[in-house]
Amino acid sequence: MPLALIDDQGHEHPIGSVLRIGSQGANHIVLADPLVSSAHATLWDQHGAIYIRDESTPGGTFVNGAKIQLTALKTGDRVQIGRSMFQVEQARPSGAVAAPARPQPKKADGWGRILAAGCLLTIGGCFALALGGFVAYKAQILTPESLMNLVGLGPGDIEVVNFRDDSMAVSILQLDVPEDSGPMGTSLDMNPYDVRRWRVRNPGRYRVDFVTADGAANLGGCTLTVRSGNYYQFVTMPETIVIRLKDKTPETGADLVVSSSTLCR
Amino acid sequence: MCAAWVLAGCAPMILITNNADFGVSVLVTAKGSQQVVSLAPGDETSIEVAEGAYGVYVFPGRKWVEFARTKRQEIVMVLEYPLDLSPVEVVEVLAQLDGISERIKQLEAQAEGVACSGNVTSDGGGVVDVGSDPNAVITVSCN
Repeated sequence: MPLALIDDQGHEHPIGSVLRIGSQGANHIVLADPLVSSAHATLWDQHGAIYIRDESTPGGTFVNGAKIQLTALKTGDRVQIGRSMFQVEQARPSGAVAAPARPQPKKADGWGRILAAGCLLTIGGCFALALGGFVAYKAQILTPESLMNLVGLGPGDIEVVNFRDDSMAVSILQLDVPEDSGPMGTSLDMNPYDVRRWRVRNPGRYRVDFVTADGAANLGGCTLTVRSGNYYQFVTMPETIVIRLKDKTPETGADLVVSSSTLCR
Repeated sequence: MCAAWVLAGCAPMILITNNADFGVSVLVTAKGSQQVVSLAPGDETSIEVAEGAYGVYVFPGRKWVEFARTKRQEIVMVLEYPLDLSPVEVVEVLAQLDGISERIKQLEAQAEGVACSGNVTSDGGGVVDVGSDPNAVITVSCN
């Protein structure tokens, strides 16, 4: 009774006079596996006995777990080539053909299926994301500004509240000025109890200084990093200046005061 | 004003003048931001706003000043020794700070005071004139 190789998908590969296994298309069994050499192993029938020979490959050929160079096969032997496993069985009557098996590419192995599933998931995920984004945009949950903030290109804001009884001036200047743009900043003349807000179009490092209206006294200052979407609030009081980064709870009370806040570094 | 434009990247500015006989506070809203300026009689100031529509609400200055002084007192009390604040007290300070924005939003939502609106672009700023009639009633115009 002729023998055949049964792969892990249950497909039968009759071993005729010769059966070649490798990664190239000219083989009878083609394995798309980086561990499999172009011409990896050869099986043949010699006077009713089946032999297998490894073609001096780096990955090797294994029979029942043992690496072989040349050995005879019998029913029940397990042959491993790369990640593929074959069982030596009696050929089924319908498949009992003496001629060598036709070269046929092996169907996607386990890794192939995982890759295919990954691709499908990625495409599906992208589609769901795009659809969700479109719906959120239409429902005005996502605005162009929030999208810009999402990718780190949106502006930030600095709000200054003057709760002193005197006027003051606030200067806001960008420290790390990009080579391709001019200096960004502003100077705010604030009356008592004014609330002013300045949009930081170029996120980055900024210096904020508070001085009396006549410029004679320095009330305090802070060097801070403004990131896209950040909203800093300064409240100047007679004795101190409060700082706060909105939507972020400070760890300690010291973080609420410009003179000791870790936001001013 | 022009120098400020250059420094600020030529953002639209609104020039506000108080021609009334008394102090006023002016709330300017534009694209989700609120700013409040207090002007003595005859004073003027200019503020930067985002391009597009803006709204102006004017009310007697004392109304805002009273709120600001009360709020300041509340913040000073809880922030007297900032290094000793407990986590609960830190949250309390944040709530007090939130109170400032909330009051401004209230002023806008309730349309307290006299209001007008206008539109500014990067090519042209706005002009707001605040005045008062013989009965000391506030008037305002946006151009």
